[in-house]
Amino acid sequence: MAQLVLKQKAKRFTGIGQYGTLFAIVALIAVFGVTNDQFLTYANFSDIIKSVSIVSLLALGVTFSLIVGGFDLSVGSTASLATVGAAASLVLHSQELLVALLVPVVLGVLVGLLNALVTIKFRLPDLLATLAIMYVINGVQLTYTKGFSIYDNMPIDGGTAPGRFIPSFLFIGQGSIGPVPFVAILMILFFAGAHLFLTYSKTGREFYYVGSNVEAARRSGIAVNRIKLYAYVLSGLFAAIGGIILASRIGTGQVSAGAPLLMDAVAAAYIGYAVFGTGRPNVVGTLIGAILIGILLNGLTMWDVPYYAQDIVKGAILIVALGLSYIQKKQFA
Amino acid sequence: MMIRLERVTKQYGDVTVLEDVTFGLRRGEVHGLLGLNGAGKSTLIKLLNGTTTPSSGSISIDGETVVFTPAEAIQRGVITVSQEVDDALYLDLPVYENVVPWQTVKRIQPQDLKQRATAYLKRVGLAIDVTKPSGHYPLSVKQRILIARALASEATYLLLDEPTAALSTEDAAALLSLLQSLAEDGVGILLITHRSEELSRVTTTTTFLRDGRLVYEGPFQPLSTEDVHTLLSGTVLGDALEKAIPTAEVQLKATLTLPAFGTELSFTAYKGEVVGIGGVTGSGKTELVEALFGLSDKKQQIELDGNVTTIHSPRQAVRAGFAFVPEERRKQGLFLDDSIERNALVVEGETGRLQRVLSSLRVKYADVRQPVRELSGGNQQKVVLSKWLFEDRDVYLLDEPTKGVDVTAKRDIYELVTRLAKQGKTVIFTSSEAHELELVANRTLWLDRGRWQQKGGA
Repeated sequence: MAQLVLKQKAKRFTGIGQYGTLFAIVALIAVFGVTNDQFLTYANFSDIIKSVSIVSLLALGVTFSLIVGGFDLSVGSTASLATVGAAASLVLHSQELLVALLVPVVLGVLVGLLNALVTIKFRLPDLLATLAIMYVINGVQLTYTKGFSIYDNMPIDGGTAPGRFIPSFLFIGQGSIGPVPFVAILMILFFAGAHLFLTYSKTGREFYYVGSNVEAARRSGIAVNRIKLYAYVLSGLFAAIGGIILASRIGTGQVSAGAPLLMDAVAAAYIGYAVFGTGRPNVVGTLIGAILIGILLNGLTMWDVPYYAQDIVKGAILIVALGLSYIQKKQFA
Repeated sequence: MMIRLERVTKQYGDVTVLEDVTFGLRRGEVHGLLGLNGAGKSTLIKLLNGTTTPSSGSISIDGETVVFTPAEAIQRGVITVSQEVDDALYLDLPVYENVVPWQTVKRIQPQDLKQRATAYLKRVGLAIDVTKPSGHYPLSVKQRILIARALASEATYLLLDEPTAALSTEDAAALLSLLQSLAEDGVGILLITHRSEELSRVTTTTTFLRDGRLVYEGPFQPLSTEDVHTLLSGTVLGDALEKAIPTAEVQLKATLTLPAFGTELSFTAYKGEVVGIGGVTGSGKTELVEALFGLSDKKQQIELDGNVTTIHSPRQAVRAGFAFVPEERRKQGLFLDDSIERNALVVEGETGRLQRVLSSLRVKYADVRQPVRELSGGNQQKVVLSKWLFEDRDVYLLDEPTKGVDVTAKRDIYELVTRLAKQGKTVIFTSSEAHELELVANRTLWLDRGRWQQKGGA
């Protein structure tokens, strides 16, 4: 009897959580739309989608790490590293598109492997280990760039840089196919791929088992360390892809460009816990979380809320999102 | 002069763990308490020491009805020595700080504390260096340190949860003598133990619990082995299963290294055989099956069906044809918040036969999407077993598969084991209960601290 009541309560709660997120998105659009006539325009929505695509890819990385019971705090700095990697290939070494994509991707994978090394092999707690790695990556970028941004025609050694951001690279973040921004297509493709992988492939399903109970997963014959390694590599990879889009959008390689994205990405992933009432990290929820945050930040900017004050809002959102996921966990406990 | 439960019922949610139990522990007696896992022994102790309160019924001490917190229970002299000795001690602190209860200390004077500690330790037969950290000493000494602490707290009732389970025979005998002498001094002692010889030696009265009910209270000596079995399980010993007959084909031949004990264990198991591995907690049963399943730190070389294989990880053990049911069901066997379906499909992931596999095990459930957390212990264990039944495995390693499982689920598990053996599978079945191994195994090997008890290998 008591259990039944509890179940009903859980159902009612998850109902609120589920529709709550979507309701919040609709409410925000309504409020911002009414108060600012520039909000409900194609140009603005195209802007929102472009910024959401970057945050969402970082959040997708975080989601992978959360699913296996880990936590990747290094996604922001990995994205920065990717912008630097792409910019350096293009501007300093005059490379073509393929190299400018491969370099950041390889860097992202390397960061993932490094995170896997410290968390799996050295068994350090994920949160602290990836925090440390975050600083290491930042330091590496600063050392490499001496703290400067990399941009077209930047002065080096008395002259200017030989290469530049080529149009094909800039198209990734700035171009559109018809009325649809190219990044929106990329984002949908990556999210659909990730969702299908986690839902329908055997390896993908194992991610959730590892996160649910690593000891039971091990004793069911799942190669838990390998799965965790995959998760961190995917996390690094998606953070790097987010970084590529970021570099393409701003047309520079910037050391600190990705840092503020970490918070947004983590909040998006945690809002995602509530979206389908599962109380677990999930890809579709993360996407919706990223959209929610994207709209909120865009609307606040249009309200002339200064960016530094927006951090207060972001922090508050994260607390609410964490609260939601925590309450949901408790419902089942 | 007694602590008494009067018609006590205890429920957790809709699960009744103790039902209408009237029980008394007198000062000056050694009172045995016996019951299978899940029978309600721990709950009874928790009620006596104030950790939990009855859902209905009352508790009294020396005729006075009490409702007390754990701290008040200790003040009134009800002291518990739990099975997890290490959890009750400050292992890094010197022995004397472990013995003298802090409530009685007004001003910290190490010299005085040491003297008091030494005096109490003497009463439990210990003359040790009290300045050394308590973690420095072996288990048998740590237990006595706890009993000395109980005396220092002026224990009038002492509740001991399987204090002899992990002790050697000599240490256990010495402990029992100590308990007897404490009883003579007027302490009421409640002793949980599975060892019949201990009960018949030291107890004046023994209480049997089964499925939350008190089924016997009286002297232990006149009970036969059959009586004890019936009282414990509610089934009659001897309405046995029709066991499979092992073939002469060797399925598994192994010499395992157990790093925890620094020993080596050799044994052989045949196709269609159920091998019982018996032993108390800490005897090495779990280490043995874990070594076979690639969970020990050492790589293990074994011979499977005539082929030499090295087992170094569970994944690889699964590939080699092993199935494994861990001892700690909730921690190591289940994804508690996940559905029955997800739990059952973790190894093979084949939805089609789910219903059939679950019903062959007689799992009781409302919906396969129900979280396994909501199931009873027996049904949870069946879900753990079910994940290995979608595809043929050669060797089933079952580590205390009936622990915390009710009698009917036990029966179902025994039947499954027999069925598997009849299909020619090898089953390694560990248990601390001899009658269970008699019932289900073709042959039982007993372990003691990582070594075979009677003879080397088999």
